[in-house]
Amino acid sequence: MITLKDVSKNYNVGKQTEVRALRDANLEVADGDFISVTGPSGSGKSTLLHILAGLDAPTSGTYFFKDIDVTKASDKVKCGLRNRQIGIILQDFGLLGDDTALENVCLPLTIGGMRRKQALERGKSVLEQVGIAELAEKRVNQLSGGQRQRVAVARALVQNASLLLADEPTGALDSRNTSSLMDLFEALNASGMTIIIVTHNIAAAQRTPISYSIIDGVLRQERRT
Amino acid sequence: MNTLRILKKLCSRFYWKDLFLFVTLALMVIFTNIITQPVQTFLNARRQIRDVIPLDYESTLHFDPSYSLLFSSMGFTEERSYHPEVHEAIRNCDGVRAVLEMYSGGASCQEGGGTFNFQMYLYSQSFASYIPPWPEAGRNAEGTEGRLPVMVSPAAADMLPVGTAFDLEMVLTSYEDVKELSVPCVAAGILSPERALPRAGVDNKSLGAIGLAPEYWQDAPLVAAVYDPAFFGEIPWDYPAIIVPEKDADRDALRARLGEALGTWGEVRDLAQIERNVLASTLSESLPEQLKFLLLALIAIFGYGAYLFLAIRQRERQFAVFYIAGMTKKRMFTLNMLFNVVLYLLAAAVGWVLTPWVAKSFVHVESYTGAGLLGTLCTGGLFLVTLLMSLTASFIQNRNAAAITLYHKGD
Repeated sequence: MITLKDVSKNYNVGKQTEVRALRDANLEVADGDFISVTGPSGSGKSTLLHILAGLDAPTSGTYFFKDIDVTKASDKVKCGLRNRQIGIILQDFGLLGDDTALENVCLPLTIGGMRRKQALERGKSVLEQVGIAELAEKRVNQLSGGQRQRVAVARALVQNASLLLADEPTGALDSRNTSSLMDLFEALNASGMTIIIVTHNIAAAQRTPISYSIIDGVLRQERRT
Repeated sequence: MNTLRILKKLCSRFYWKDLFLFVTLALMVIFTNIITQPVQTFLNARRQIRDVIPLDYESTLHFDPSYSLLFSSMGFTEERSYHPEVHEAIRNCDGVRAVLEMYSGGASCQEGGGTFNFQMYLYSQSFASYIPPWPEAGRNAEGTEGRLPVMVSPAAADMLPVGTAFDLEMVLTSYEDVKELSVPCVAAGILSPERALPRAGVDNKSLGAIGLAPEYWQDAPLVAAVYDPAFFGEIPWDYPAIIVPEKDADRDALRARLGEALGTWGEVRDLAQIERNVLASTLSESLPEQLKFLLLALIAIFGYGAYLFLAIRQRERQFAVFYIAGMTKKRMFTLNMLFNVVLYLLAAAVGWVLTPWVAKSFVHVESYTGAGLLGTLCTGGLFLVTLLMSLTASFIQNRNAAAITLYHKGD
């Protein structure tokens, strides 16, 4: 599904403050993989995830998502990937606080052009899938951290994405909600979804069959079970 | 359709910054409307006058006599008047096709035991044939036998309803003879209050040299007629006059010949030049008064632009979420544009409603006639330029589109 070859990412290129956030990273991800990437702060984890999501462009190297060369793709193509094939979950959830859970979940569908009625039906079914159907009409601002993260997961799933990218998904959760979220990820992975999570949380990382680490921008596989 | 749904979502969220943007836009609209008002008034009058004068404004000339000639026409002159010489000079000039003359002056009638005074417009037959002063349909010819059919302004219609027969008393003083006339007339119709009245007049500061927009005559008691020698006999025509050149005449050469023949008796200008002079005069006279409003308008639009730039940051998260969910930067830019256009349209509506009150209360312009095309174009143009500059600047600032930093919080 994903082929990352010699991907580097430098910030402030050509300046004295140039930073090499990612160095010649190579990564092969097959359909149905469940991968965690760990590393200390500033190691380049999020940079890797942003490149995988098409939010950031590598300085060098190539990145193929299925048969699409993402490094050369236009903004429209990358947005299309995020809208239909790549679900993204962020540490601070990336939700619109004044909107309801259902409105947040339906956003990718609205952007993708689905009719309102269909979108609402689909949104409700995904909220049910992640176990928070009763919160559909609640404003996100009124929800707890764990509930918000489930809304974020629901939004990532609503377009039947084949890849789920999660940036510190447990960073704002307590241990009970962390465990519950990892249960959800495992269930999704069991149903065939490919998942990559970037995390500080060692316990969460240990629950993934494949584990990578990043230190000073160097990506290395740690474990495959 | 979905873009509209997202737009609706944007519009339905109220932020204080939106109110600020709205107020600055409304102020910009009001001030710009006031600034453009004098020129808009000129443009309105020009359009209305052009509607009734179907001549080529570049080649048709206008002769405006000098003041000494005017004084002479009022009797302050030696025995021999030079009017006939002016006539001769114009008519004999090679390339002149027709001279369109008219008389305008006071007239009165005795009606119902009282004396009513009017302004009288008497168009020569050549004038009326080249520039019909009113549509033929506006004239009721019935019952005019033996009387001169005249058109009356709405303000004179109360005294002289259509069908009224009366004797018009006039004193023609434009020649060496003072000619007193009593002309049997009948009110044959009412001049349309929507239509300009053509004329050949003396007026360097308004378009009155060639016509009067409705607002300048519709409230005045005025009667107008086409010259008929059966009622007036031979009369000396007043100047100014409009000069129609032969179709193939060289305009500049004709002007030069007329200028030479008429010497210091007056000035020859084409109709377009009269319009340009009036516009220049309007601008130079109104500018000092309008400068303060220009300044206020610039402050308002600058405030809008700067605040919009900052406000994009406030929507930063919203658009970051949209970007993550798959919305392109181009679509986000378009959405921002549309949102601001909606805001502008609302502000413009409020501004247009409030402008007459502001004009009356603070600028003491009683006759504010509305924003018109000029005000609309100016405010719209100013708004669009500012909007594009602010949006582009803010999007460049947030270069990497989700620009907008939400996902740059990690490491």
